[in-house]
This record gives sequence, C-alpha cells and structure tokens, in this order.
Amino acid sequence: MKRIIAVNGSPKSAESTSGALIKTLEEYIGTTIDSFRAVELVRREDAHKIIADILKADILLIVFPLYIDSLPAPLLKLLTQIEQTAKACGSSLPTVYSICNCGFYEAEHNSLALKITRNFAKRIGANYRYGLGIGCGGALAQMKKGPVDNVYAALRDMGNTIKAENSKESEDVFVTPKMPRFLYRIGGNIGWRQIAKKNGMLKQMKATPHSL
Amino acid sequence: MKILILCDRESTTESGFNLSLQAEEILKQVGCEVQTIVLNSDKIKPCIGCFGCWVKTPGLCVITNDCTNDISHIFMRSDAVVLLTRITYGGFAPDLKTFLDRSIPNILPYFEIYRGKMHHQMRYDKFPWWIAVGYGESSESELEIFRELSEHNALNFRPQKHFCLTAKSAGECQDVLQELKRIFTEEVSA
Repeated sequence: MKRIIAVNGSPKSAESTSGALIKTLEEYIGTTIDSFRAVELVRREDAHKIIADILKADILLIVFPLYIDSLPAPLLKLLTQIEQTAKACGSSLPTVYSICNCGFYEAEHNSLALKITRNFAKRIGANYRYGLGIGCGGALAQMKKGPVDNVYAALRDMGNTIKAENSKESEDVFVTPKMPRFLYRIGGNIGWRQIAKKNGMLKQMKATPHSL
Repeated sequence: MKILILCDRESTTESGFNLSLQAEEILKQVGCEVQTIVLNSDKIKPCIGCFGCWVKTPGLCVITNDCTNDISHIFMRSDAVVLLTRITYGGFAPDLKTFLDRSIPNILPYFEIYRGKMHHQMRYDKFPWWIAVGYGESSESELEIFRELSEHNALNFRPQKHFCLTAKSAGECQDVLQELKRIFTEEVSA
C-alpha cells in the first residue's frame, strides 16, 4: 500500500474545507492519509525531522485555500523548508498532487496557485501529477451532493489516479459546482451581511479606516 | 508622489542585489517621497482566515499585536507601492506573502462580477499603483507565473496602474531600476 501524506495549508484551526477534502479523499482511496497542518508544522522545533519523513512518502498531497491568488503564507514557508530538506535528501521523492479551493465562483481562479505548487515540485526534483482547482469553496461545507456532485467526482478521480501506478504529469483540472453564478454571488453577499448584523457591524461594513 | 517600498529581508542584502536600498535611492532622485518597510514573516502573524476584518472590525485586521494594520495604513495612503521580492516558485516570497494575506481588510467581502469573473468589491475609491518587482534566478515558467500573478492581483485590488518587472541577475536589476526611474519620472513631471 502506498504511503500518503497530506499537508493542509488552511490556517484555520477547525473545520477547514481543506481538512474536509483530505478526509473525503481518504475515504475514496481507502487508506489512511497522515495529515499535517502547515501553520503548526512551520513553528515546530522538530519540523526538519517531520519534513524528512514527509519526503519518504510515496504521495504528497498539498491541499489549501486560495489566498491572494496564491498559497497561504505559512504553506509557502513550509514548501521553502521542504525544498531545503529535499536538497539534502538522497532517496526518491514523493509524487506531488495539489488541491486548491477558492471562495470565488470560478474554479479557474486557482490556476496560478496550482502552477506555483507544480513549480515547487520541479524545484525539489519531484514528480508532479496534477492539480485540482475547485470553485465555490464556500458552498462545500453546506452541501454534500447535488450541485457539488462534480466536485466529489473529481476528487474520486484523483483518488483513483493516486491508487493507480501511473505517475505521468498532466494538466490541472478545474471544477465549479453546478449552480448559477448569480445565486452564489447573492447568497454569499447575504451571508456576509447576516454575520455582520449578528456582530452589530452591518452599518460599518464599508468603513474606510485608512481614508485620508 | 508618495511611494511605499515593501520588501523581503533578502532584498536588503547582497544576494538580493541590495535592491531595496538602490530602489529607494533612485526614486528619491526623481523627487518621490519614499518610505521603505522591510517585511519579516517571523514577526508578522499569519492570517488565520477568520474574516473578522470584514465582519467584526470592518477594514482592520483583528490581530492587533503586530504592525500590520499600521503598514496597511501607510499602504493605503501611498500613491504607489513597490513590492520587492525574491520570485518563489513563481510567486511572492514568504515575507511579502505574509503581509499580503493580512491585507484583505483593504477590500470588501461582497462579491461582484468584474471583467467576466467574480471578484470582491473595493473598499476604497483609490488603490495605490501596484509595482511588483521580482528578482532571483528563475525558470521561464516561474517568470511567466510571476507576471500573470501581477495581472491577477491587479484584477483583485484594481490599482489605477500596475507594472511587473523581473530581474534574474545584478545586471538585469540595473535595467529594472532604470525602468522604475522612467515610470516615476514621467509621473512626477506629468
């Protein structure tokens, strides 16, 4: 059985979409995925030992939310640390896969972030298989089927690819849940207003504290 | 013109071609008011994805025990921001990225369609010019992604003008500095 390690790039401590995606993939593959949170790992004193162990895995999954068109900073920092360790690593490196989800509707927003992880794999001399970009990340926590069936189908495909022996690099895959964009946009905007209202901040939502 | 230079630690050293100091000097020569802030990802706390800056303290990050809100204040009151970074897999270096992740209070949570795709609405009427300067030995793919990233960043922050300059070597850094000079000479004399 292949050894699979996931790096969860979400800085959220609980209930991150990235964490849920790793769990789903684990079910589909039917084997345990050891998962590390980037934000915790970069702070650990024994990080180099864990990183050395990560590099011994067969598969490395990098799963993260899109932050400013690319990777959240702690994950990026971790990748630079992995690169340092990989340079001194004599053994063969894991095959890399990545999954990026964004709060925007269109999955294509994740394109550059996935390319950045592909470049990371090239820098360390590892095989890169492909990346999966997911749109409407905000809807995944609330829906498990229906409009998001295509997201789970794409995850199942990734699971099957991981199980298979094929390590040929291929194009990234983008999947946007099947729901009208205007509904997602309106739903999102109402959601923000509701949370702000709960906090008594609705009227201040458009504050400009740095205005001249 | 008021310019803020945000740079990674390496750009203050030889391996970073001393770019920050050189950029500051050249921009002062053309009559700009320049402030340089060296970003350190060990000192800036990472964004925790709580969205408090949108729904609890709108426009300000809820993490207040570092200087990020102060940097945002200087950022938003500048006419142009020059971001000096080692190109890291095609993106910004961690020093820059840690701050950029914490700069989302400067836009609104609300969605809108802009140039055919979903983006956030702007919080401020004006966003400073965005000049991304990437340095370091990079592959063609990394350079291409860095340029594309600058275009995407501009769609999300919508500065009036944006530029992306890259330099693989000390020689190319001189070209970049001349280009910065040209950009701002034209603006100051306009």
